[in-house]
Parts: sequence; structure tokens; C-alpha cells
Amino acid sequence: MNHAESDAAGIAVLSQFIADVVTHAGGKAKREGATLTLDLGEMPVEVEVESPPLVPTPVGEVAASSESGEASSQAVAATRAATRDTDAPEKEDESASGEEAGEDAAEDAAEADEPESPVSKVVPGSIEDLARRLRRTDFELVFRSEDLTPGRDLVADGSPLIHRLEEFLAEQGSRCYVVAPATARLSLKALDAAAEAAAAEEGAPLDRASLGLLAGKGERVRLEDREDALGYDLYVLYRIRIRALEREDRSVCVRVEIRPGVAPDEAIDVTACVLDPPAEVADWVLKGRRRLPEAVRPLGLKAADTCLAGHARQAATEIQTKLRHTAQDDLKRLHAYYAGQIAEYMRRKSSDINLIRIEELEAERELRITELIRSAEVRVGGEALSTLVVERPIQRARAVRRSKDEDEGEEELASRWLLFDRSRGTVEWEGEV
Amino acid sequence: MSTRLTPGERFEWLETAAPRLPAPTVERGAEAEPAWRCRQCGWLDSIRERECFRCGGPLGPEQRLPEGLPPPPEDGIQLDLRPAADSLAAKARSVDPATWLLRRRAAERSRLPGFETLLALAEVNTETFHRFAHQQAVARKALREMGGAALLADETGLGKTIEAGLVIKELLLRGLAQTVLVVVPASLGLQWQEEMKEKFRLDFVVVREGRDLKGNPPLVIVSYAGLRSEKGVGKMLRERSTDLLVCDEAHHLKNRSTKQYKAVGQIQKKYVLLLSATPFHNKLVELKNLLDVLKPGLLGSTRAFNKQYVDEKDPRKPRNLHHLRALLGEVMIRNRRSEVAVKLPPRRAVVYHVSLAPEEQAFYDELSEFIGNEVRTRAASYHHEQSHGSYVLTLINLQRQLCSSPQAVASGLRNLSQNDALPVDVVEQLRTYVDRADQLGGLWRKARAIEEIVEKFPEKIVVFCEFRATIRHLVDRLKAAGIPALSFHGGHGPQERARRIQRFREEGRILVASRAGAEGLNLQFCSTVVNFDLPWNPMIVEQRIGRVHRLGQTRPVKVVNISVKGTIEARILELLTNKLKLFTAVLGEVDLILGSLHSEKSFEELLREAWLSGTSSSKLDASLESFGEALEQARGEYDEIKQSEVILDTLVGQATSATGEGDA
Repeated sequence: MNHAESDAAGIAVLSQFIADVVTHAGGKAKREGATLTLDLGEMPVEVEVESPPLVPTPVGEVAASSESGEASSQAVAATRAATRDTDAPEKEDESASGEEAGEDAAEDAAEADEPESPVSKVVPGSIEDLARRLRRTDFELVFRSEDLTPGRDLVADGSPLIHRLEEFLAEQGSRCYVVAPATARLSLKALDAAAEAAAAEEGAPLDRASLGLLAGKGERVRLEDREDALGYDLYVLYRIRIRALEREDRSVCVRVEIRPGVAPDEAIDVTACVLDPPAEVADWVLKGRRRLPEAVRPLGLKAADTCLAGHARQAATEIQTKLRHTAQDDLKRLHAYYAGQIAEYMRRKSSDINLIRIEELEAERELRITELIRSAEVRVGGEALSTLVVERPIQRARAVRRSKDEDEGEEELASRWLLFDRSRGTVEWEGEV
Repeated sequence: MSTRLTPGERFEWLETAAPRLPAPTVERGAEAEPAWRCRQCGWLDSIRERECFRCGGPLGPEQRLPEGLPPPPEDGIQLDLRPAADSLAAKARSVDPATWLLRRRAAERSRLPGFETLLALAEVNTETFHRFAHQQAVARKALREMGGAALLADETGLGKTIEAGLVIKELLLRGLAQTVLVVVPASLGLQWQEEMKEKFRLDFVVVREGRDLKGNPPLVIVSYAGLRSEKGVGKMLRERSTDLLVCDEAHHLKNRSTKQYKAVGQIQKKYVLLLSATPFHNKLVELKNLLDVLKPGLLGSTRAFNKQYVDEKDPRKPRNLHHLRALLGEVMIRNRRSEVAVKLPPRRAVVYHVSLAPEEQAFYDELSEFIGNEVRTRAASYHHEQSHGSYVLTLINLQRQLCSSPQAVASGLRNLSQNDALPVDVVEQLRTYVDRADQLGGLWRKARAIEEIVEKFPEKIVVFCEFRATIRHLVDRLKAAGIPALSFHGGHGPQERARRIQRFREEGRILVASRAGAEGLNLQFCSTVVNFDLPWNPMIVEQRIGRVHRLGQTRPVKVVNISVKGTIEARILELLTNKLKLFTAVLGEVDLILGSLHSEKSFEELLREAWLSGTSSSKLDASLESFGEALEQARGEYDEIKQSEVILDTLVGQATSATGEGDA
């Protein structure tokens, strides 16, 4: 893909994103040639339009600060009780435990005590809310500076408009809990298929015997001690900002798989990696009142933080290596230059003026070196933006190979614990790394 | 109505078309030859050389970089990651997965792109900011390729201030800079402040003394004189580090032994921009001194530079051009008018010389004498500096009101007569003057001159006045004469202003405006400007003209000035037209000429001093003459300096130009 094509592809992605946000909120978006026209309906009457700040807030900082919880969204918090009714999936959630329901009720009561804000009539997430945030209802957006004329707005990745859209989405909530549908049933056939798929993925031949799925003559394999369990995929969305001479922002999604031990006496298994959730989560059942159990939440978040730190350090190291390369050259140049300058003064006849000049040059050299060191510094800041929990139905069982001796009863020859993921149809075996 | 001129009254068209620079005589690339770079210090040298001239290190092909650098220590990386448990609210509300995924996409889209995308472009005031590809290219190049350390050396009038503004805004928006210090010649501080506010919505503070830094403002403009001051504001600014340092008219740093050079060197900064169309004047080594502010040692020591790159006989002439160009290409960007599509229609200036009626002249002379007396006696007797300064300013204002209109001066006199500190006889005299001014309203030669100008130039005209009383009465008078006229000043609210501009565009003939009211306006649909009265600051005159003589203007622009014989304003106009050549200069040249004034004070302050020292009419001529000579000298110096631009152009290779097609 050449540069122009890549630009066009980038514009298409950005344009589609904006259109999706607007239509998701209930507005209209239409792409025509170089422009994307947005129609956000009517501006809510109670909103006062603010003039833009004269000293710009660094982009990204606004969105970041709004993430520090729902504190900044207190203005809309009072409307939550009213909007709760519109949150249909939550009403369907009849399986929430009594404890959970009690927590929610307490939370609602606490929020109901909050003072009503001037913007309380605007429903969060509504098109009026979006219009209020964007301070206008009609937009003609362009994506290349050459298309910009008065009355149009230029938008690029990282533009203030994008940050406002992000804030708009962020203030609707920052957690999501869905249940992955159970599409598979635990059976020997299903285990066999899973083992076959796993072997194919690894490019290795399927070894049923080692898995304990192969029954010899006069033997049979059975699944025993079946037990339902739950596994969780915790996705934590982070933003990191890498600041050096330039600034680079990245959004990183870390997935933490939290599974019970394969055998009943094994500890909880927590593994993290940088990975986005699958697109199909959009279709899974929302359980808005459910939360990751407190017993595993700290473990999950800590694992996500550790994974992010490794990722961030690696990114920063790559940038710093490049910077230091230049800085080393600059340092040599500085040393050579100032050494030469100082030497020139030292060769001259000693005088107070020359000594002062040498001192000045030395001070200047220190200052320039300090600047140089500062320029090679890499600072990485970051914070979590939101979480998505995917609850996965799991079954634990024991694959038992028994002899078929009718006289002495069935004798257990071998057994192996396994965890079967009913949403993915995958299996994890005891002792498997 | 026909124009009837009394003897001595005439329209005088001023000569236009300032001379252009001759084309560079040195053929580019004539001395091109491959270069080797020192592996230790980066010095460029001929492949005939084996050792670095600067540090004695080994020379090698340019692309070979030093090897075996130590791995970066981890302590150079500061990780400040908030634990997720702290970032995420315990009682966070739940969203549906579609919204969550949109949020995920939003986080991806809101990440900052590289400097190839200038975020600042989406944040500028599109009403006043005209996009030029070459300006954007300069900003990108300075940020991406030069790491925010660059000498912006575009020819005058191509928008170096805009380029710097883009870089400033970009770094602020990205959070890479929080503090900006702009150092300018004293006369350009307010112009910078206004331009940053008008085009980039940035609120800079012009600091003159230590107390201006109260509250630690992040965006600061200071003069070179202020920065180099031993105490107060200079010391405070030198001691605080700044993220971005911008030095306008940076040739003020050509001499490394000056206090201002050392003062700039003492500032700790992360990014630095130097702006100058003429970075050296008399010697090539001045350019090297300037670049040492950006990248110390890039061009070696002074001795090495002179030996390697300066002609032995002519200190302005470069040699080893190919190498020098390559080195300059690392830090210098220069665009030339011929390479970029910045095309403005010509402008012509005319002075309408008129004479006051005898009664008006007598009133002017008497009141001027009274004002002079007050300056010499009462103002001088005030020992308290503030009282003195305040009274002097009142008197200067009165003098300017006197030049503007009888109504304006009557208003000023009424205000002054309410000053309790004045003796009864003076107050009585002031009231007499008020009565006389009121009676002169019908005569008002300047107002009649406007009617004559309107008749002579049958197009839309913007008339600039300094005082609201003048605006009000002038509009009334024009309307009475059947000429559609609109007033426009800072007292009108934003909506009213927009309405008036709309009316002027659609059906108006004359807009009588104050400078404050016209700030940030685009009036390209009109092509004639009249300076009804004259500010004592030439940059304000430039800004007035700039309202119509700007991008988007398609017709030649006419600037009409009214010179009333025998008034201080006529003398100021003479200074501006004949000494400064304000109306015939190429766009941007006035900044440079004013920058060449050997003074730490602005034009306005110098003019005020000349007026104060010559308040007795016999001395006024002499003091204005002396000021005129200083202006002429500055102009002459500038003409010489311009010759150095020819040499500079020979130093500009492909690498140093950020040329692009204009897209406005």
C-alpha cells in the first residue's frame, strides 16, 4: 500500500468511527466525497456554550482526567436512576445474586442523594448529550488540510473532536460484563474434537493416548466428577503516553485469563498478554450488575498492570535507544566544541577576563549537557480507562480410563483432570503447560 | 459634490515597489562533492581529509555512524503507570459491549499521530489564519527532522511568525511544552501578542518588569533588553527553565560577546526556534554564532569555521559550499518568495495634504501651546513618577485628540477639566477651549477631506480613527451627506459587530472603525483604507492596512493618509512615509527596520520622547529631525543587511528549503 492509499485507508477508518459514534447516540452521519456531515438534532436549551480556552489543554489530558472515575461525571450521575429503566439488559439480569442486588441498591441510594446538576435533563449517552459536549449540532468534517475551508472542521487522529467523543463514551460508563454463550457440551466427542483442533494448530500429530483419551482393549474412557465452574477473561484498556522529544500515545488492551485450577486442589491460574477482545462480544449477553468476584479482581488487575509495565518499558526502551544514539553524537560534538573553545582561551595570556570567559564556557557546557540529558529522557505515563469482563462457562471433569472387567467391577487405570471451556470448545488438561 | 482644493492641498501618490533582491550569483551545486563525516563529533569534511579538523577523530562515509554505543540504562526511563485498581472507579457504571468497543476504538483514534499531522491546524482561528503549505512544511520539518531546534530564515513577509506559532501551538497541544518564552525587539512585543491571540488563540503576556511575572504565566514575551537586564525580569526569566525558547529577529544574537547573546545562552530550554530573514549582516561568522545557540559546535569553533568555510578575503563570502549547505540543512530552513505561492496584490499609498481653516489652525496652535506649557511646567513639577507619567499621557492623548476632531478634543478637555488637582484658572481655560472646540465642529477640515476622498474613490472604504467621538460624528456627518456609513468599534458586542460587517459587505459604502474594533477582522471585500488619524506606532498602521491587504484580496489596495499641514500628525506621517517608508516597504520589512533602531525603546516611546523634548515649537522640529535621522540610519543599515540575503540564498540547498505549493 502506498502513502496515499494508506492515508485514504486511515481517513476511512476515522470517518467510520465518528459516524458510528454519532449513529450509536441517535444522530445522523453522512459521508460525501471529502466531507462527513453530522446532524446531532437540537441543542439542549439548558446548556451554556463555553468559549475555548486560550491556553490549550494538551490533547489527551482532558480525556484522561475524565477517566479518574466517575467523579467528573457527577453532573450526570443523578440521572442514572432515571436511565436505569432504559438499560434493558440490566433488567433482564435476574441471576444477579442477592448480595450483588443489595450492593446495587445501596449504590443507587447513594447516587440519588447527589445534588441535581444543571444538565440533569440531558440523558447521558443521548444525542443531546453529544451535542452539548461538542457545543454544536451541525458539522461538516474534513480529514485533509487542503479540504479545509471556513465553516468546516479538520479532524485527524488525536484531534480535540475525537477526545470529546471519547469523553462522551467514557462518561457513559467504564465497565462492561458479558457472558459468553455456552456453545459446546462436554463430551468425549467434544474433547476429541478440541484435542484434534489444538494439535492441528500446533502442527503436531494428535496423541490421544498421552491425553488419556485412548482406551485399550477391554478398557473404556469415561468422564467423571463433572462440576460447573466459571472462568473470566478480564480485558483492561489502558492508555500510555510516551514523552521524549516527541510524544507518542498508545492504547493498549491487556487480556487476563482467570481460570480455576484444572484439578480441584490447584491454585487459580492467571495469565496476561496484550490482546483485544473478539468482535463478537458485541452480541453477547450483558450482565450489567455482575462484577468480577472480589476474590480474583485484585489478582487480575495486578496481572494486567504487570503485563502493561513490561509492554511500556519495551516501547520506551526502543525509543530511548534511538534518542541516545543521537544524544551520544551530540554529546561528543559538545565536548569537542567546548574543549576547543576553552583551549583557545587557555592558550591566551592569562587574564581575569579570559578566566571569566573560561568559567562561562564551562557553565554553558554544563547547561547544554543538562539539556541534552533532558532531551534523551523518556517518560511513560499511563492509566487504565475501562474494563471488560467476559464470563465463560466452564466444566471441570476427570477423564478416567477403566478396565471393563465384569467380574471385579471396573478398575480405574488412569485419570486426568480437565477444564472444558463451553464457550470456546477448548480444553485444558491437568499438568499441561 | 466636487473636490475643491485650497492652494497647497493635493493628493501625493507615493512611489511603490521596493527593490527586490538580485538573484544569487553562485551556481548551486557547483561545488558539490562527496563528504565524509567525523565519527566522533559529526564534523563534515572533504574526502581528501583523513582526520577531523575539529577533534582529530577519524573521518568516514557520511552514512556510517558510530558503533558500539552502550545499551541505554533503565534509569533513563521513568515509568509512571497508575495501578488499574486506582484508575478505575470501584462504582463504575456499566455499559453495553457495543459502547465499550466504541470506546476501545476511540482510545485508538485519540492517540496522537506523529508530527506529520499538525494538530495545531485544527485549533487555529480559521477566520484569521490562512493556510500556506510552505508554513506547514516548515513547522513539520522543524519538529520532525530538526527535533524542535531550528533557524527559520524565510524571506520577509512569508510568515515566520506564523510558522513559529504553529510550532508553539503544536508543542502545547501535545503537552510537550508547558512554558514558552518569546524574545523580541521591543517594538514587536505587542504585535506578537496580538498575532498569537488572533490566529492561535494563545494568551501571551508581555513582561517588562518583575511583577509582570506574578503568577508565573506560562506564555511570555520579553524584549531583548528586558532579558539581558541584570536584575528583575531578565534575571527571573534566565533562572527559570523554559520548554520552548523563540527568538524573533534573531540576528540580534549575531555577536557572541553581547549581553543578550549570553543571556539567551543562560536559558535552559528543550526546544528552540530562531527567526531571522537576515541571520548574518557583515560576516558569515555571525551566522555561525547564531547556530551555536541552536546546536553549539555544529559548525566547529570560530577559528575552525573561519578557516574552513569563510573566504580569506571577504568575511561575508562562503567557501566549501557543499559541506556548509549540508551542515546548515540540519538546522536552517529558508523559503524564498519566488518558490512559494504567497501572492498579494500590490498596494499604493497616497497622502492627501490639506490645510486647516484659519479658525481651526488658530485653535490648534493655541491648544498645542497650552499642552506644551503644561508638559514643561506642571507635569515637570510632579515629583511622583506615577503622577508625572499619568499627566504626560493625558496630555499626549489630548494632543492626538486635537489632531483627530473637535469633538474628540472637546471630550478630552471636558475630562481633563474635572481633574481636581488642576488650579481654577486652568480649569477655566480648559472650559473656554471646550466651547471653542464645540463651535469648530462645523468647520472640521478632515471630515470634509473624507467626503472628498469618498468622492474620488468610488468604492467601499474603511476609515480608521482612534477615538470614538470622532467615529460617531464622522458617521453622522457622512450620513447627513447621503453617504451610507457605519460605525464599528470595540463597544459593539460580537453579534452586533458581525451584523455591521455583514451590512457593510452587502450594502455599506463606508465603515468608520477603531483599531480595537477591527482586531481580527478580514475585510478583503474592500480595497481602500483611510488613515483618518494616525497612531504613533507604525505597527498599528500596518495592522490597519493588513485588514484589507491580506490573503484573499484580489484588487490592488489603496492606502489614503490625511496630512493636515502644520500639525504634529503631518510630521509623524512624514517620518513614516519618507524616513521609514512604511507604505512602500515589502511586507515584513518594517519589523526589520524597526529592529535595526539602536534603541531599547519602541518606536512609540522614542516618538513620545521626541515630542516631549520638543514641546516648545522651536525644538520640536529639531527633535523630530533627529528621530528621523535615526530612522533613516536604521533604514540604511537594513538596506545593507539585505545584501547579505543574497549570500544567504547561495547557502540554501535543496535540503534547507521546506517549499510547498500554497493552498490558500
